Amino acid sequence: MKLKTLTVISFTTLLVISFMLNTFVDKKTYRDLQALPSLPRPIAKEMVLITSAGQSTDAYMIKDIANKLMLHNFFMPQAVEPDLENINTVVFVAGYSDIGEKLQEISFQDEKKRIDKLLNSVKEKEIPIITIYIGGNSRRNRKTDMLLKMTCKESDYIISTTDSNYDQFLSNLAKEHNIPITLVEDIRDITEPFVSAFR
Amino acid sequence: MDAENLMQEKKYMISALVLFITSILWPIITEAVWFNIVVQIREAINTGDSGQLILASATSSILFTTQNTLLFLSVVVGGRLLLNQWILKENILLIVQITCFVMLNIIISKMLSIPWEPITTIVAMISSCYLIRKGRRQSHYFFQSTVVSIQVFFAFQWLNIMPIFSVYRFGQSDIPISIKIAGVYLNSSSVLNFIGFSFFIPLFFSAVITSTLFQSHAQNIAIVKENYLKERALESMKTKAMGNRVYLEINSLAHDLKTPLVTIRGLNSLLLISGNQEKLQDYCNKIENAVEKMSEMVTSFLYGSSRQKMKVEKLITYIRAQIPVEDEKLKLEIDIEEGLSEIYVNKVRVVRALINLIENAIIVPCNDTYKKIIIEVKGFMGGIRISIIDNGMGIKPSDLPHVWEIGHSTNNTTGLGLPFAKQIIEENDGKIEIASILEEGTRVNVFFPSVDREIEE
Repeated sequence: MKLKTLTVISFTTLLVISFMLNTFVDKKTYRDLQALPSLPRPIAKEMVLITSAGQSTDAYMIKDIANKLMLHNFFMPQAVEPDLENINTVVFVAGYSDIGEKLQEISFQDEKKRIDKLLNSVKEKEIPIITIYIGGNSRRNRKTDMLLKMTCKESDYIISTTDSNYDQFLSNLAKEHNIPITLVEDIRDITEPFVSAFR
Repeated sequence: MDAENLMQEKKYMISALVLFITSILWPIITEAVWFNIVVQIREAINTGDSGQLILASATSSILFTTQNTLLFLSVVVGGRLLLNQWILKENILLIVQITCFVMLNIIISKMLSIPWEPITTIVAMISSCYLIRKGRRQSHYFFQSTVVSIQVFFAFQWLNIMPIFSVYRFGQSDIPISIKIAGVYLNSSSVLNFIGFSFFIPLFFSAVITSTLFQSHAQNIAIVKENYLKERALESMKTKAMGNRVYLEINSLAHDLKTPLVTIRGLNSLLLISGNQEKLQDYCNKIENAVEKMSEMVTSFLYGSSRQKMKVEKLITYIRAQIPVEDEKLKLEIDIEEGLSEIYVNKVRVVRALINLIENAIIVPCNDTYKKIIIEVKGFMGGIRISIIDNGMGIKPSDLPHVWEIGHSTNNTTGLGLPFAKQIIEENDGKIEIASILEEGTRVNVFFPSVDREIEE
């Protein structure tokens, strides 16, 4: 009986400590000193094409932010090369969603091919690319990382949340390809760096 | 293994298979609903309505719960099959079940590209197993498992959409992640946390209560079964006690048989010395009568159904001869109405029954200086009523309903006298009733129908 009580007390204490550590301790470790708070001067122009890389619902949030910022944009989660006509900036919202792809009736390979072709076309037309990733560490997996690698290396600016960069994956990519990166604490803080790319 | 067990095992096997197949088919059947959740999340982002997120959370929780419960039940039924085949220890069975459940989830998720929540599912599974552990060998185990596991799985699925539990790896599949990210964007994290807790706590509490109720029901059933067995044993003991009573009555018969034997012996000795032919004739007749009487007594006792027509006066005289009236403190009054009709009874047995009643009246303590017993015989409703009235201490009203029960006694006796008397009187188509006033006395009425009425019936 004593051992049972001791086990329950120990388990509860561990749970409470873990809960407190995870909830109240400041996540400074995620911060990257190389990251910029926002761009010093704009790199992109309006007539923005917002597309998804992985078909997650995260793209809908960026579309919503763009609308709130009154940025003239086209939201096409499955944009292809012809959609680039009259487009001055392309925003890739990365994040792999299994159900999102099933809903669009495409496979991961199809999605990769689409992004690859689109990136090539964008490069040809010398249109600035912004990659945004707001999925945090929860959405980080092998497929998301593949998509991030594809888009980030061609990007002119990377915006993400600090918890997404828990393993320095994004900051290393930015460093490797000499791309400015901004890491924000909260998804809602994305507005400032995002608008700094245009105004 | 008998045919019934084989049939039951076959039933378990089919049930486990059906549940397993349904759990695999469930995500395929409900694919449109999964897509609808994504649409609801998009709608929530577009409109800024966190209500849509809650709706999406509820739908995803229901879908996850159904699939997990089906798979869990298939493992539970499979576990029961294992339990029937081999005697497994509870802990080993639990480990086998958890391993099977996790492996099946991984296989299904890999093969069909279906998302699954390892932490949530395993924790919910362990909780369910813990809550249903005691009913493993009961008949309603499947029903109990279903009711409890639905509540537990549904409770734990709500942890998936709570951003506060993300650090514990709850809600790591596509839909919960999308809901939580959208929740953060819409500034609704606290709403999701609150809703999650609001569902988790009552559902989990309800699961614990339900399981406790099932366990207490099972305990009650076990107690009822135990009581039934005890009652059966008690009944058997009472029957044995009644058997012993009959043995005592045989003893008393043997005693009664001594009287005619003594008569025969006496007459026989007279025969030896008598030379008078007339007297010899008289003695022979008397011996014949004594033998006949003995034969009648033995027949009456050996054959309970054997009954004779007889006058009540004769019955009372026979009883009178066997009551110890030498006691100075005992006054016996016999009041017999004249012209009573005959009755049709087994003389020896009825006499023993009535003597038992009179002996009861004799042994009961009284407040007066002497014990007064009245034997009153009267015509009553076309039959005979024999009343035995005493001035004893009487019987408490609370004890009255129990006086006919075997073993019930207020005088440190065996408690077999009254039940025996009742049994004999009823076997002879009679009725017996008892009335008593505490501190004043007791009246026992015995009713026998008249011989004419008996023949009519």
